[in-house]
This record gives sequence, C-alpha cells and structure tokens, in this order.
Amino acid sequence: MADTRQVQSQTGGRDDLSIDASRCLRMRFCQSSCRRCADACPHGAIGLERTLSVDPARCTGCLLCSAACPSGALEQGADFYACVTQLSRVPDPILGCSRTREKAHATLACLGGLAEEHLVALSHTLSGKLTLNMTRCGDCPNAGIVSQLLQRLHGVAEAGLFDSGCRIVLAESPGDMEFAEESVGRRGFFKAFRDSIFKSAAVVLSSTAERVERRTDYSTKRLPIRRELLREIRKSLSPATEERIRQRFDSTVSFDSGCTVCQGCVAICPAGALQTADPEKTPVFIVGSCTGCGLCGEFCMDGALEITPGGV
Amino acid sequence: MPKQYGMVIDLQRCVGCGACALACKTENNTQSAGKGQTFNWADYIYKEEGKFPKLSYTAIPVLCNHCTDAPCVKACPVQPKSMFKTADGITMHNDERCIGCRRCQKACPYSATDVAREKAAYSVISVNDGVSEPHQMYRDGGELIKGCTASGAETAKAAGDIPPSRHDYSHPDYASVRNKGIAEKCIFCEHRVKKGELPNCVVACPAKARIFGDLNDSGSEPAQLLKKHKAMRLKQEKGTKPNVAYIRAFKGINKA
Repeated sequence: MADTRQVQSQTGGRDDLSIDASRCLRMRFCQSSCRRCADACPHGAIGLERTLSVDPARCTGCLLCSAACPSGALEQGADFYACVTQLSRVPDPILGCSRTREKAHATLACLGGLAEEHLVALSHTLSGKLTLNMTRCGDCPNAGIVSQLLQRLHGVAEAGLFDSGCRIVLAESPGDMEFAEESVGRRGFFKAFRDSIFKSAAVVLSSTAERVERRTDYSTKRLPIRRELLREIRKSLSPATEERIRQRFDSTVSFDSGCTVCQGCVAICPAGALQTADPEKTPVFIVGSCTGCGLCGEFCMDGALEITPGGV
Repeated sequence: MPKQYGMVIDLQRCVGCGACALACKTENNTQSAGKGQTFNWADYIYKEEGKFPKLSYTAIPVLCNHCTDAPCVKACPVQPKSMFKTADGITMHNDERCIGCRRCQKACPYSATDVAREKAAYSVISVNDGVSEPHQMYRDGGELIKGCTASGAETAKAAGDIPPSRHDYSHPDYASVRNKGIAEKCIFCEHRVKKGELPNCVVACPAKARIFGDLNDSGSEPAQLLKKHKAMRLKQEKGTKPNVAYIRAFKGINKA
C-alpha cells in the first residue's frame, strides 16, 4: 500500500483502480487466453501469472486496462453516478482530470478509463455538449490516452450512438472550450438547481437499486459498472438507438447439439448471463447480462458454445 | 519428510453402523441428500453378493481418499486452485474461490455429478446448486406433519441458526456451512486435526475401525497397520494414489 501512495504523488493523480482477481477471466479459468488488460497497458504494469496484479512502480494510473477488462476485474473506483450528477447541473459541462487544475465541472482520476459504454451513458444523460478537457494531457505520462479516446469517440459516433444524445467533444487546447460557471443568474440558478434535484434523485434511485456490493467471492456474479450504466440508460432510449446499442455491445450465446448440459458455463460466467433453469436442459442465456467476454466458449468441454456479436 | 495424513479402515472391526456418517454430518453441518447430491462426506455402502445360501454381505465406509495424485485438483480451473493439496497431504477445498463448475466432481473416480442418474453408490464430492440456499429443509415454512409438528423454518428460528444444530467452527478455507453454488467435500476435519484432535468420524466409530494419522511417520498407528496387513485401496487402477486404505477385508471387497 505504501508503494501505491508513492506513485500517486509522483504522477499527481490518485490511485483509482480497483482490482478484483476473482472476476478476472484468467483467474476463473487458468487456460483462458484473455490478456486484454495487459495488451492495453502501455507500461507493462499488469501481471497475469498466478494472480492478477498491477505493479505500482510501473502503473501510471491511466485506467486504460479498466476500459479493456470485460468482466470488471479491473475497474475505476470513482463513483460515476456522482460524476454524472455533477455534470448534469450545467448545460454544456466539462469533464476533466483530477491531476490538473484545469477548469472542469467534474473530474475523474484519468479520462483513459472512459470506455465506450461510459461515453454512450454520458451522451444520453447530459444535455447540450460535453467537453472532455484534455488540454494538459500532452504533459502527462498518460498522453497515450488521447488517441485512444479519439478512437472510442469515433467508434461510438460511427455507430450512430451520439445521434440521439448530447455531443461529446475532446478539447486538446484551451481555445477548444468555454467554461461556464455553474450558477449564472437567479433564474438560471434555480432552474439548474431544480433540474439537478430531479436528476440526482433519479440517479440515486436507479443506482441504489442496481448497486452491488463488491466481493472477492469467485461465485458472485455481477456486471461491470460501465455495463450497469449502459443497461440503465438503455431503458429510456428510442427503439432505433436501442437497436444500435444492441448491434455494438450485445452478444449472443447459443448451444449446439454437443452440449452435455453440464452447466459448467453457468458457473464460469462472471456476469450471470447464463443460468440454470432446468439441470437437464441447456442453460438459459440472458442477453442483458452478457458482456461478450467469451469465457464460456473457452471453458466449454464439449465445444458446444458459440458466441456471436450482436444480440438477438 | 512432510506429513501425509491418511486413514486406515479395518473392515473386520467395522460393523456398518453408520456412526461415522452421522458424526460427520453433525460436525460439518452437511445438508440432506437431494438433487443428485449426497452431501455425505463420510458415507458407507453395503454390498450383497452371491446367492443363498452362499451369500456375502460387506459394509464399506467411504470418504474422500485424499489422493496423492488428486485428479480433482488437476481439474480445478481457477487460479489459485480452489481444490488443492495442503502441506500435510490433505485435499483441501477453498470455498471462496470455488465457482461450482463441477469439474472436480467429474474428474474424481469416487464421485458422480448426479448419483441417481449415474446410478452411483456414493459420491465423495457434492455440489450445492446455484439456485437455492443450502439446508432448504430448515427454510421451509411448511409443517413436517400437518397440524402436529413445527416446520423446519420454525425449528431453525427457535434454535437461532441454520441448521438448528449448527456446529460453528472456524477454518481459513471453509465456512462451517457452505454457500450455494459451490462444491464441498471431506477435509479430514482439518479444523480438529490442527488442534491435535482426531477427525470426528474416527472419534465416533464405536468399533475403532477408523485409524487416522501421518502415513509417512513409520511409528504412527496407521503406518504400523499398513506394514502388518495387506491393504486394499478403492479403484487403485485409476492411479490416483489414494490415502485411505482398507485392511482385513472380507472376500468380495475387491470389487467395490
């Protein structure tokens, strides 16, 4: 723990990565070939042998691994719901990073942790235009996140997922953005105040209902937080947008005749997307709980499982 | 030499009373059999062979063999292994890391994933299903005999625990009552052995047919017995090197 703190002061950020080895695909199944986090890490800080570990001497806290991990073994510790509430108080909010003193209405430890799901959720919760303040990223050891975020923004925009929500832009120089103070005038203040109460109440209601206690028990099933956010937001979207989200984020698991109904896939799934309804039959697939990690396919002894992108 | 805990069962002493199985159930709070699972960490089988009047009847106590080359350990997919060997040669199971995939049960020559379907006489590994909480009997509000007895749930409530007779022990790897969705098996009562006590099945055996100890210590009672008698081990042909041995067998046991 002492080491971690040392690194925090070096980079000026705060350690916002929470690690739950019991959710790691490799820890659940020793023959899994998943190395998404290690491939995403620019500093080779992630160890996958014996246990999932992050070397505090190498980690710079860019959170790219958390955006790559499909199961929530590596996750941002920040309360994303609180962050959204803060942003929703202003019409054209700015999201920044807690390492700099740059202007922002809310901050995260590093914007590298914003996965596509986060971007879609932000876009459909906020109004106006959301600016990601990345004006100081060039001076930071985590500068690599800028191109990654641009790629993600592009991908989400290509899929048409910003069409019905607010625009998200990335500001690399101070000229790219306008910072408006939160309270402007009496009328504006009260309007924003009223809106924020409704919005935060809605967020609190939905979040307390879905929030799951984090445990290190291997048999505990839950969705990663960003998938939980996406699931929440989907409830209120138009059928056309919902269809696009389905295409981009959902997967379908199907069984062929080789399945021996052993229910092993039900056990290995970290998210609870496969459930036993009848022990004599193939498991039931719950599309809303599937993150498409593919672990069930790797684990199946009968080779009877097929995972295809896009939901049914 | 590191320890290798093991057990010798003297079949000429065993009367087949089943006290070992009962003692195990009370010690380890195992639930009633159901859904193809026995939950009998210590179990016994009866074998009747031949035709009258040339009949033979044998009682064989069975339990986890704590194999030296345990296939259940090899099959366990998680890291670190949920099923593992301790330094003392016990095949231990950690319940926090278990995902309930049943690979241990499939790999074990002494277990069946469903005893009814596979027509198995016993299964040393049982799996709590992932759907319902264990000990359903004590969660059921229905009276056992209508208008006459209390319900299981009432009994459990009055006793303040599930099961009502819960023996609460602490073990670093094992909860005294296992959660749903995980496997469970005999751990040679390691929580007792650590304190210098014997496994409860050994203590309970009225005929002193179960002899527990370190098989690698040539002075120990089980090691002495193995030197003196020709021992038989269940399904030795599987090459798992079981550490539960049977001595002084009557005729017919070899087919168990």
